[in-house]
Amino acid sequence: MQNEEIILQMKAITKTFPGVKALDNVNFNLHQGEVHALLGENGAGKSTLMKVLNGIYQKNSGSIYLEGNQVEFKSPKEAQEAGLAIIHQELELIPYLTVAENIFLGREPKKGFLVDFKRLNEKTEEIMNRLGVNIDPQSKINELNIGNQQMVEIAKALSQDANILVMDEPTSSLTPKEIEILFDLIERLTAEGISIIYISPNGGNFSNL
Amino acid sequence: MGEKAVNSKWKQGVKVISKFKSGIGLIVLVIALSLASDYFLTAHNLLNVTRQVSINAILAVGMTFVILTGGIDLSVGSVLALSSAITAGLLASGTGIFLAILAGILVGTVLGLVNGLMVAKAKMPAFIVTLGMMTIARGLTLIYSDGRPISGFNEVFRFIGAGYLGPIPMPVVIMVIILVVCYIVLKKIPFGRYVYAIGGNEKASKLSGINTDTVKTSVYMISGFLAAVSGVILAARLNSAQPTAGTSYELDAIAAVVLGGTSLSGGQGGIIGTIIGALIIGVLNNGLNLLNVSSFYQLVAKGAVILIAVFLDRRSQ
Repeated sequence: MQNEEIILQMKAITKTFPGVKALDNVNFNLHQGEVHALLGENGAGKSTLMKVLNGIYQKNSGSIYLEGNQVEFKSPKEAQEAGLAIIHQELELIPYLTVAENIFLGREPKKGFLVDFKRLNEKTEEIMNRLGVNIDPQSKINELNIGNQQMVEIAKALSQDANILVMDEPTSSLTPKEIEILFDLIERLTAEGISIIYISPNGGNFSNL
Repeated sequence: MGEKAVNSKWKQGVKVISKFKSGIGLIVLVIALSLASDYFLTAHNLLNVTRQVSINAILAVGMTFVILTGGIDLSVGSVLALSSAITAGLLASGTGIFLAILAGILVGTVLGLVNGLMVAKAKMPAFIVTLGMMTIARGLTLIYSDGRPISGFNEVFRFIGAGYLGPIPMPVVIMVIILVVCYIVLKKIPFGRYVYAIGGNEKASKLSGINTDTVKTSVYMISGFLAAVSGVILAARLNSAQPTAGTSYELDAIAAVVLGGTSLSGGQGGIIGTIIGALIIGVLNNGLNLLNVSSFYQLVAKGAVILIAVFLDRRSQ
């Protein structure tokens, strides 16, 4: 996999906060279709690096190249439009809306003025099939367990044509069974050419990846 | 059937009942009152109840939008009074009906816009913003009307509040139109779904690219608009705009929303619950009147019903 082209390159990134140098000349390369784990204790700068990448923080110096082109993301939305999605540790879903409504929130298919719920649910079904998970598009988020909620987040990222997924400590609140399903899914995503940055506070269990 | 299946059936049942519990409450109330009073279940009385309910129901529909986003609008009673006074004042000075109504409704909508901008853009707490607006709008009403009622309108204007379309009172016709439109807006168009989304998780809504400030501002405008519509109907019905009209109406509107099962923290609930909530309050008032209960006791009963409803709601969650 390492021979695949470099999809994302972060060069000499420096980010300082008042009194702290959080990132000092950090380099980071991501290849297409790989899972790149970012390990380290809390405070090591993993999350800061990802927030710089995502446009939540602005870097002090350094440069970022996405598929060879230099990019400057000013907001997570811009990053998202360029195909970069972050799945945060605290999931960002609307508890009382349906799975389908969450996945296409702000981008729902329309029929005239009205939301086209039929197509909304069909499109969600398609993504779920692609992920190989069995979640009813019409169930509400607060009826799902955490593992399935995370699947919805991943589905949401894919529906936006993300080709780089950042997962921030994705297994922290999952059961062993759910972790197994997640790792299985990660494997299938990388086979599709999607690159994954996997943030973990410790060594974790990567034998399956 | 295993124990687990029975358990899940049971849970399903509880879920269905809890979804319709305000409706069940209304039906129980109607049955009880029809047993207690022969007059209650007559067409004449029921039309009377729905007419009495219409003003509060229209206010409560606007309140539903606001509460669904996690906000509150305490200014609706005063905005109602101001719009009512402005329409009445313009009519009294010879302005055409259409223009007078338009001006009254525009004023209410603009005050709603101001509420919305202070909540969404200036990040001020909705409770304080609308409390301030409640006082300002009441003051403006007293200034505009010089503290006196404005009375005496022509038949055409009075038709809006006192007329009938067939057997149906006009305020009820207007209420039904508003209910249908607002139901569609909340359930079927993207804007309505964003109202729910913001109340459910504002940060996530923003990350999804929803313009949360615009949606939040809009719900206060809708509430102001509907308060103004209620003001026009009330003036037409009473053939008079009272400067103290609408006092404490915001509380009845909030009560209807809460009785209808909409969560004060936002994100959950809807128009159908709110109309049931408004009907519960209206039927209760009407029933207690028919049973010759003094209005002092009626206040106690109304408050108690609200507390019991919210208590049961908490218990079932």
